[in-house]
Amino acid sequence: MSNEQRVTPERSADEKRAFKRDLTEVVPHLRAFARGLCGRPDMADDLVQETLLKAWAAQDRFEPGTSMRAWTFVILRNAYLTDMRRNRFRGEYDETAAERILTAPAAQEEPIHLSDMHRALLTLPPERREALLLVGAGGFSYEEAAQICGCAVGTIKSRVGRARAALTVMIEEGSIPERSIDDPAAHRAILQELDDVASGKGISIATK
Amino acid sequence: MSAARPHRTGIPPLVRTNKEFAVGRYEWEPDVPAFVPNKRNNAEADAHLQQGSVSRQLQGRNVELVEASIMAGADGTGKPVKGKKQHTRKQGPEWASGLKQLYDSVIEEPIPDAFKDLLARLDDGKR
Repeated sequence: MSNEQRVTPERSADEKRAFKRDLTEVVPHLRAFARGLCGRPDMADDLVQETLLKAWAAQDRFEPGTSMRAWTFVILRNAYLTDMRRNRFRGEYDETAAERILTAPAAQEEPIHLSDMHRALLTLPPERREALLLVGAGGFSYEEAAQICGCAVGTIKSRVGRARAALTVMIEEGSIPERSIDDPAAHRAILQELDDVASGKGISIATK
Repeated sequence: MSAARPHRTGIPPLVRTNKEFAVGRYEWEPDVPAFVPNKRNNAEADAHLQQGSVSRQLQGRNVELVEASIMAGADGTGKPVKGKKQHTRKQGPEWASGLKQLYDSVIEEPIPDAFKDLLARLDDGKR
């Protein structure tokens, strides 16, 4: 692992300003990704703040010209997994906030209730949820998502496909859990998530 | 056997034109154009294969169409949802747009002051 450490020159003031500007621009994206991952707006924002601090501290490892969004997403993801290991986030569902923020516009034809969508999303296994968030919502390519998650492109495609199928079944059949914590399906998903983290799966390196 | 078709011993040579060189056609066959792949299907396949690069080009700025396509099933897995094909095509884009809307609703929120304060402190050079 020590081979991955590289000696980079200290960033100049201009470079730091540019880094900080790029970092500021990705904050909304980080918040959206974190909200999708852990479900709670307050905890998601804590996660983003933690990510910003870590990114700033590790700015020498960021390669200018590469995607700041992808780089910071890796940091956020790893921070999320670490916090999951500490049982800090449990994919809780804040119904009040979701109702306020996520309800579809009334004029939309056959509107899907976005709080249902959010609950369904939170019951997905974490690796599928993050793949769907990255590709289906974040606009990352499969290749970029694979880099962020530290896995093969085919694995990401498979995860997105399975997540899509699972959500379709849940929404079609109305089998969306009422509460992600209390519902057995959601509870199983959370336990699986913790098992995955405990086994060391999915930690990727935020170097690119 | 068709009366119009000549006897086996009298099979004429292949007639090939410049346009149909690779196809080959017997004289008695109807004068039909050479097989042309379905362009619409080709376009769909190209979009399927290239959607990753398209998505990358968009850089997350306006990806609803791409994401709707991905969520509708063009995700590169080549595995349709068993037994739910018709419903999937109908439901996929609907919830896919919901997912994007859910994500975008957070992006469009104003950044809380806590983040501005934190970024300002980073500006002070604290590492």
